[in-house]
Amino acid sequence: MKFGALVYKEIRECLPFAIGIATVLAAIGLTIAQMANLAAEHGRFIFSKGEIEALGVWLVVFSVVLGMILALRQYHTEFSARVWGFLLHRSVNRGTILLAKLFTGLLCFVPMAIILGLFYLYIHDKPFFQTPPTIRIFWKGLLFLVFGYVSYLAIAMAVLSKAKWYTTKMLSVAFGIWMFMTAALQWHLYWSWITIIVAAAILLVQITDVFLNREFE
Amino acid sequence: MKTRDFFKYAARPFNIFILLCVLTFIISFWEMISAVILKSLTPPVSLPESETMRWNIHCSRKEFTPDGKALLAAGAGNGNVIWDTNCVKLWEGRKNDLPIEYKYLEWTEALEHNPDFKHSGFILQASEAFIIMRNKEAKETWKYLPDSEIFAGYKFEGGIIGYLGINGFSQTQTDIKPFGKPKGDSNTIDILKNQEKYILLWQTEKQFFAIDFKNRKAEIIIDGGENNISDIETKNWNYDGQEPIDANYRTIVKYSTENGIINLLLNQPNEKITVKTPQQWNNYLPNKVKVTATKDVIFLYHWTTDTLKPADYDTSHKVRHEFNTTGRPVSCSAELYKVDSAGNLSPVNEFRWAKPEYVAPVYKDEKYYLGYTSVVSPPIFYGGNKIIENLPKSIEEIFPNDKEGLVRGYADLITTFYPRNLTASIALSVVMMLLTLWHGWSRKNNRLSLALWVILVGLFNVAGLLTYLALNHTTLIKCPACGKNRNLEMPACIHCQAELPLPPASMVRIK
Repeated sequence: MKFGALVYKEIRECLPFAIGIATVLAAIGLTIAQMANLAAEHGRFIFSKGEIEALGVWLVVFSVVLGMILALRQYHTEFSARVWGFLLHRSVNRGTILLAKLFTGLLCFVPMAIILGLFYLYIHDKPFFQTPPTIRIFWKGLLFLVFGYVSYLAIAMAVLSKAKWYTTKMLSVAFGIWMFMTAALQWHLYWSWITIIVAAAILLVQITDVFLNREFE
Repeated sequence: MKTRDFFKYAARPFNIFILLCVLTFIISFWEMISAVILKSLTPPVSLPESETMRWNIHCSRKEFTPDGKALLAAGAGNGNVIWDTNCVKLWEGRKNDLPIEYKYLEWTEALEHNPDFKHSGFILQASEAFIIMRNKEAKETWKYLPDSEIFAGYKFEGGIIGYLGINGFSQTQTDIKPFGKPKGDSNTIDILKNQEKYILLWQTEKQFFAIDFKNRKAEIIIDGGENNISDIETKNWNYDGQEPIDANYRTIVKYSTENGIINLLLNQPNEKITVKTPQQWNNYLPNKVKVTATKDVIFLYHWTTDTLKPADYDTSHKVRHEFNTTGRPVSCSAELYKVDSAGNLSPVNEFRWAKPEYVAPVYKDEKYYLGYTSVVSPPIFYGGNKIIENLPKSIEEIFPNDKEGLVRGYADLITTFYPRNLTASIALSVVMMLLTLWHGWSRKNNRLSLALWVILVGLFNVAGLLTYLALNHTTLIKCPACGKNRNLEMPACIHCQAELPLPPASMVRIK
């Protein structure tokens, strides 16, 4: 019950960002599909590396931006508004508060995942794309979304860290970038998935440690 | 154990690991930048003239004119230079303006250099092989079906057109014979296509096809029979065979099979020749063969050295220590042969030269300066480099699927940045360990923890010290009870167990 209330509070604060970004992504996806359709009528290609790849770039950018916005909204705003004390002195333990934040963070990526799924269903039987949409490309898109969640965890960790900005405060961000490069270099998609999941697990352990053990003013 | 304690103990190793990795990267980057700066600050030392000439000869291309004269060449486009075999410059300018007496023979090249076909640009899975036809007559997509090993055609507006296999086109899948397993594994397939003519080049293990989707037929260009095809090169070849790209040459396709036999397919007139190369060519490294055919003569170019091929040489991985011939002079040769219609070779000319010795004191690249800057590298890298060097197989062979990935990247990091001077690196590590000991003595929670940190710093040098400082630095105060330095973050003094002093009480006025 308390967990549900906390999730409701977090969703109320974060959902506008999630819906807004998913809407822009949907608009871009539809524009790309429409342009490809029109170009096919005239026997031309528009996107040199394929339409799906063109949308993939936007997916990476938007999922990372959403991750950053969510982390700043959920953790940094609590510092700047000095409301951690108010939030923590409730009859609920710290673990539940953190779990509600992390769960809501994950939930906010669902609209983008739905857009990706709908876009894939719309295009997967259309033959006018340069690179035929395969299920592998859909999994790649989901990977980009999960990387958005890793960037959310990296920024959250940086915000929660007690270290000075010139020491290890930004270490989690460096780690996130390193993991993204490692995942992008992988030849096989499943290795990229493993890399991103391991990165998320490491960041989750660290965030939990910091959140449960640090002092909040 | 409480949940918060569990996360505390689990998070610590991750923290150390991440910091060590990031700092090792940063320090390696610093080493490389320093090496580049050192190199740029050092004035270049020129080689003696005789040595320069030997290097020029070794590094230039060895070419032959159709009448058999050997030439040395370098550059392409605007900067073409031609020397004679004594390194006397004969001509310099644009390749198109090359005088007739220096027009050298042009040779077969790998398929991806064929101007008539474009590489897909990125490696695809076989299931992603496709071609799209969009013209006034047809709008259709042809996709490869990996399970059936055939192509299927779809209309833009929906519905299937039919299937294409080794025996041509049919509207029913049961009539179609499959092409066979594509060359390469299922994740890495090179796709060459001509999108204007709707032709896809398709290589299986034993055959090579040009699939013409417009005319709905698959033509076998090469049939290896019982033998697997290893590599294919072309000169002046396009699928149509109607208009050769260069009128001075005949169209030629050269392919080798895995048992080392070289075959030539020629047009104008059509010929198939199996070249009778001497068996001893296979005993030396490298053993590179290219061919070309003018209107009258078929030429073969052979480049080799007197380096014997190791008994365990694996032809599938040519990146091994082919040219690791330090310590003995190497004789190289470029040979020109004529090939008759029966495949017999008759020598025309040969150019031999000696590979110059590596002149380390004069030629100093970034790796030379890394000898100095790598003193800050972790000494543990030295051991890692030794292990990698002594592996029975190369990293590429052990991890054949790790084409751009983790293992090779990190192995490269170790083999590039390992400390060249181990004594200096260990000496610096000892200094770092002493600094750690000095810093940690008053701040220690327990001696075992401090000892482990000192060992870690010893293994990782500067990166280890920075990691230690980032995770362990705290403010020190004088203990009011015993007067010794104590860690402010510890509630009890490690020397006298006294509690931290409380701030002095102050008056609070309550209204």
